[in-house]
Amino acid sequence: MASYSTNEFKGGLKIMLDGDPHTIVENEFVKPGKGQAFNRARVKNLLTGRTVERTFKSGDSVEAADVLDTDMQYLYNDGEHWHFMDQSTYEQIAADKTAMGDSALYLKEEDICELTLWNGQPIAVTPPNFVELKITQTDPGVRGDTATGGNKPAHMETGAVVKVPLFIEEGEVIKIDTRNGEYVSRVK
Amino acid sequence: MKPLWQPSAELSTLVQRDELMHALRAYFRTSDSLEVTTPSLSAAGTTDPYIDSFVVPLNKGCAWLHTSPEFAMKRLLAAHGKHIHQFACVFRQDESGKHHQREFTLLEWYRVGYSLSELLNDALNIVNTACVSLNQPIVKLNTVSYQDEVKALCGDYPHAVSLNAIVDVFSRNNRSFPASLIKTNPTTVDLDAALTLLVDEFVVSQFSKNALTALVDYPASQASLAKLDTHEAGHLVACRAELFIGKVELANGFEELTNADEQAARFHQDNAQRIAEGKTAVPHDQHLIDALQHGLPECSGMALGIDRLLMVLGGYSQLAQVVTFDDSHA
Repeated sequence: MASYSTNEFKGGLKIMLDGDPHTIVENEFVKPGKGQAFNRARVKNLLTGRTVERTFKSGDSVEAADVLDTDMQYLYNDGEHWHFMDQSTYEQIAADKTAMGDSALYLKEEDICELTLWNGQPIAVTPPNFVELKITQTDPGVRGDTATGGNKPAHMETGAVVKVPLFIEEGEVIKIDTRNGEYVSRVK
Repeated sequence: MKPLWQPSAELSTLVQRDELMHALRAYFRTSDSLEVTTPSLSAAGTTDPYIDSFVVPLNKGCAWLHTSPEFAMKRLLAAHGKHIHQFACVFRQDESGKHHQREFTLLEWYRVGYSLSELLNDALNIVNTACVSLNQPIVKLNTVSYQDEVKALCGDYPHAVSLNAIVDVFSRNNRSFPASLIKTNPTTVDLDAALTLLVDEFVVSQFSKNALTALVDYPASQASLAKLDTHEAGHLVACRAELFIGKVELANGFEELTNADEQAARFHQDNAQRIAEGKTAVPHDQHLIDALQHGLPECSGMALGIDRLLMVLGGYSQLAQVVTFDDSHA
């Protein structure tokens, strides 16, 4: 079984802890001038999304998690699962609601997503950093207030609700940063 | 991102560093200390179980890059008996991170006839010399006892504490303790490792950012090259101190062990521990043992990380900002 030594620890490394796959968020090397060294790592559980701190004796080895990030194309949602396709092998894979999280709110068919697979099963789906979506509903803006201040909620065709400036109107297409769910710009 | 050929420190930082070095040299000049340079390459290395040297292949055999200039400086002390200091680039394997570089600058100095507490006052003057040079308010010295802190946390002094009592402190405070250190029959080495983590998590983390803190009264099992003394409770402790600003460790000092036989025994014990942990033994410096045999004057010495000093007092967050080229693009 593959394993990593603490001196290979770095952000993004995928390891198994307590039976769950984790990713290392941050790794701090704790080494007194004289004495045993330690690695204090902040690790994120890839199944629950919880982040905790774990301390290792430097030199310890930790089992590697068979976790793979791969780009796949979103095909459709059958009401229960979201289906994706590997564009080189045409292999299809289905992700459940837990794996999708909030990502489902931003996805349009044919979008390319990053799927995190653990032992071949999707555990997380990351949409493209920026998506362009059409507004299906938003209240009309206040006339004249086009330059500064204020925003209002807008419902997207995919289900996301994004705060947009008051001058944006229903039916317009906007660019959204999916990492924080914020409005970026209008798309002409 | 800056291109990789570029220095990791800004020019303004290099100017600060230059001024700091001048100020420190001026301090030593006024205190009758001789600046020396000792070899970086030696036929012997450090036996410290937790410090790994760079071993340099020679056309015939190999040599060890020093991890501190301690052995050679003590040989000078045995020969000449004068206060000495040195700014030395030293090298340690596998130490890389925000507060670690494999190559870094140590200010190492020895004072003949000084006790450890006299040396701590000297160190405070040096740190305050740096504070003035870097336009920072001067600091006070707080002294914290390793013995008292462990007793307060675990109920026993370090030499008598059980591994369970240490692990309990971590559980009570909801902190992570390495699973690989939990053993039914822990050795002194395991206990010292657990104590090291305990002190880092619960003692050092509380040190003031605006003061110089000296952690003193180390367990005898962590004496390294320090003399032993008897604690008021009757057990032995090491005449060793570590200095911190906030939780950043700046320096390590000893009232120096002068007994040649005990020093030789500690070297052998270090190497036994290295072998037990699957590391290679390192040839110890027999010249140092011979020098101690000849006679090392009673003295105290300290090694202070110049890069860390500039980092902390200059308000920087990592060493890369205070060295010309950090490890990642040296």
